[in-house]
Order: sequence, then C-alpha cells, then structure tokens
Amino acid sequence: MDGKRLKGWAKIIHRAFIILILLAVLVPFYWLGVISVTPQRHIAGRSIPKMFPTEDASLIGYFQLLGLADVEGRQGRVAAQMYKRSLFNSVVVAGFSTFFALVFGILGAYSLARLKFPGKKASYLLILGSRLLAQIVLAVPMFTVFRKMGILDTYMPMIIMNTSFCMAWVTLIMNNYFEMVPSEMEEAARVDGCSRLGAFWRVLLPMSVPGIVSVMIISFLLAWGEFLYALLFTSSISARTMPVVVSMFVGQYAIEYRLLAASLVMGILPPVIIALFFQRFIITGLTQGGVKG
Amino acid sequence: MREIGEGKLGIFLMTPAFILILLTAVFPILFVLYQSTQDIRGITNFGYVGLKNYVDIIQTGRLQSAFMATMLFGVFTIAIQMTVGMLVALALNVSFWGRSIVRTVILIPWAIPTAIVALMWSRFLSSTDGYVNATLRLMGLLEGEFNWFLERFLAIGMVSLVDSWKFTPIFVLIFLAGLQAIPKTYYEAATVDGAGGFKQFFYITLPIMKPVILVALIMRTIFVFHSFDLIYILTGGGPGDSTRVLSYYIYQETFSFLRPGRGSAAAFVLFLLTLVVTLIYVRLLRSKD
Repeated sequence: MDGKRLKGWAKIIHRAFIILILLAVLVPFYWLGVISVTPQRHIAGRSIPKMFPTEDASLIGYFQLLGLADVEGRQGRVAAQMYKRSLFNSVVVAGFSTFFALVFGILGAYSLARLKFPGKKASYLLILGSRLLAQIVLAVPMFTVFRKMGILDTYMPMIIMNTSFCMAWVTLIMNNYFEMVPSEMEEAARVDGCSRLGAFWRVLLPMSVPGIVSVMIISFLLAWGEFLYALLFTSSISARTMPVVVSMFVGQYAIEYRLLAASLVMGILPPVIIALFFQRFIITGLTQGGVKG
Repeated sequence: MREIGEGKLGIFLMTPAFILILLTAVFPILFVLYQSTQDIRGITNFGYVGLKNYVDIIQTGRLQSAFMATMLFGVFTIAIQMTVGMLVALALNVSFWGRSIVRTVILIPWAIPTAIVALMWSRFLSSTDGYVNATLRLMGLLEGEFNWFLERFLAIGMVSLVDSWKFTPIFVLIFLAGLQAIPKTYYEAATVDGAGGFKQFFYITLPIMKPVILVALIMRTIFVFHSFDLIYILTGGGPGDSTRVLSYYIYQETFSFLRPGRGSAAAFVLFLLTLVVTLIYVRLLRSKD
C-alpha cells in the first residue's frame, strides 16, 4: 500500500530515524559476527574489544562446532560435542511439534469453522484460554506428571507441551482463515458427489495453502526458540535442545567467546533465513492471530 | 455409503485438540491448585496443609516483592514497546525507497530464540569487555567500568530494553496494519481544513486506532507478565530480588529451593493475575461490539 511522501526537513528527520532503526537492529548482529571470527585475545578483558575483523580472523569456531576442527581444552571439546547433538535435538523437537500442531490444529479449526456440533463454543474458549496461560504455571504441575510417567529427559515432554501451545495458535489462525474462504466451492463439490471430508481435502485445503504455510512457519519458530520446558524437562544431552545448551556455555562451561558467538550465530541462522524468505507469511500470521511473547 | 452426521464429524475432528488441551492446560491448573495446599518437600508429599503455603509466601514478603517486580517490569516494558512501536510504525507508513527491506529487517529480532537474544546482550553489556561500554568509551561518554545490572531500577530497565529489542516488532506490525486500514481521505480532508501532522495524529489516527492499540496492549501485557527466559539468563532475579518477577520466583521456589507446594501457591497467584487481565480484555472486546 502506498503511504504519503515527505519533503524538506521532515524527510531528513524521517530518513535519519529509519537509519537509526536499521542500526539498532543490525549492529548487534554485526558485533556477534565479529566475535565469532576473532581470537579470544583481541576481545576478552579489553576495554575496547576489536570492532572490526582482525587479520587473524577465521571461521575456525564454526568448524569446531561442526566437529571439523579440534578444540583446545576439555571443556571446549565437550561443549562443541554437546552443541552438535543439541542442534539435532532441536530439529527433532521443533519438527514433531510443528507437525502435530498442524494436524490437530487444522482439523480442529475446520470443525470450528464449518461444522455444528455440541460443545463447540466450550472447545473454542478452552483453546483460546489455553494460549494465555504462563509456561511456568503449567511447568510446575507437569514436571510432577512427567516424572511419575518416567519420561523426563526424553523428547516427549517438550513435544507434548510445544504441540499444545502451537496447536492453540494454529487452531485460532486457521479458524479465521477458513471463515474468510467462502463455503460455496465446497458446497458445489458436495453436490458433485464429494463427501464432507473430501471437499475439505480437495477444495478447502488447497485454497488455504498460504495460511497453512504461515502457521507452519510461526509454529516452527516458536518451538525452535522454546526455552523453559527444555530447561526443566531435560537433564542430559540426550534430549537438551540448542537454546538450553548455549545458555549453559555461559558460566557452567568456560569456553572461548569465539566458540560461544559462533554457536549463537548458528542457532539464529535457521530463524533468520526463514524470516527473510517468508516475511510476508509471518507478517500476515502475526497481525491476524494476535500476539505471542 | 452414507456419510456420518455433521455433529459426530465435528466432535471427532475436535477430539485430538480437545484432549490435548484438557491434559496440558485444564488438568495442570487443577493440579497446581491441589499442590498448593500440600506440604511437599523435594518429591515427598507430607499431606494437606490448607492455605499455609500462601500464608508462608506472603509472610516472607517474597510474593509481594515478586508482584512488584512483575508490575514494574511490565509497565517499563509495555511503555517502551508501545511508544517505540508506534513511532516505527508511523515511520514505516511513509513511502520511501527500501521500505519493504526495513520491514523485513525488523522481523529478525522477533524470529530468533529469546534465550539467544539474552545471551547476545549479556555479552554486549559486560562491564569490562562488552561492546556497549566500548562504544561509550570510544565516544568519550564513559571512563573505566560500568555495571548495567548493579542498581535496582537500572537492572529492570535493562531487561526491559533487551525485551523491547526483541518484541517491539510485534507492536510495529500490528500498528502498521492498523494505520494502513485508515482511509487516506480522512487525512486529505484534515489537511484541507488546515490541521497539521500532530493534530492529525491525535484527532484522527489515535481515536481510530484505539481498539487495535487496546487489544495489542492487553495481549502483550499478559505475555510480559509471564516472561522468564531473559531474566533467567540476564540477571537471575538480581540484584537482590529486584528482577525476581513472579515467573522467576515460581521457578526458584519449585526447582531451586525444592518447595513445589509454595511454588504451586505462587503459580496459582500468577494464574489468577492472568485471569483478571484476561477478563478485562473480554469486557473490552464486548463493549466494542
């Protein structure tokens, strides 16, 4: 959509403000990038750490994390191994949570948008309300439950809780989306002999692909960044996800800044790439479905 | 073949979602209420104690201090994010070269994990070798060291700022969508009548945007009251108890002090707080219709 245009001083102030916004967002990433390639001695303990890459800058931190280069010191070696495994864990947890959230959420959204059934309003309110509960309020009782079930320190608790949260999101956004799609096409398909589910599968779903992509991306981003459940429900590297492992690098593991920064860069790379490629879908999802923080 | 009825199909398709919500949202709230009346130490339950856990967390003063920290953090954070969010949205509602690029760039902080945002900024804000202090030193604004998390209000302010770095984009996007829905003719008419930019903002933009602003405000308030990741990594609740917000306090009682009874009592209080804010939200939505 076209906005108004500015002239004179207003234009100069406006452009200066835009540049300020860009700097505020991008400079921290630049700093992180510099730390990730700079040897420890140029940064640690210095009142003015190097602001630009030095001549001995290298990508070795990244190679070390991927297991392609040796790490000096035992703690560093353990940290690098843990990191590699934690990326795998994060992919598994985020992948399964997104998949289940999408399946359950889309089915629920369809029945809310198109079908009349007893308990419809109650289901809608429950799902809407569940999204507003604090993670920590759920984590305290669920910890006891998962302990008694003997599934702490596996992927299960994280997948269950992430699925539940993302599913509420998917249901609400897809319910909005389905309601915006006119039902005439499905009715026409049903006159032609399609069953209700057939019309849903062959007509409504293909028309809703943009909405599905949007909730899929947002679910994945939420699950990828989830921290509290992963912190509480895991106790070893067999299930710990990336955000928890990098949080342990500060304090518990005395590792080089370069290695730490490289691990952070690799952890944000998937979401950044997704945000850049699918920005339109994210923006529609966020402005439509309300706000998560 | 006869189709199954609409009602049956609806229930059938809703069942997985419904069961999951019952098990992971409804049941836990009932269970947390139950646990809050039990004397639990570690993993051993010594039985029913009535409201003793609630009395304990109030008598130690911890609940009140956590409540105050939550409120302060909430007010700071929401005030920063709404103001900056509106300014950025207004700036992006103007035509200029590279507008869609800027809109994409501001999405990036929102998309990355909160824990990583916290780790990045705890490195940048380090008092000796952090980039923030280094930049200030280069500009001649700082000599020696400065600890951003040493003083009470400063610590809360810094956590609010880092939170804002990540979450302001949400306000920007919602406000921008609201701004773009305002018909241009309103502004054209106002310009003809001689109203300047500020007048137009306060007499046209704000009144029309009021419902959008209120909904965003309340939804974000609920989530800010729940924030945990940033505080866990940046301050650990300190200095003293100044950033020990309710969610962090619940975590400490349950998982550090191993008193799940008291932790559950605090958790139920946070649930009630959420409920109150939610009811205000529902009322607002109703009065809008």
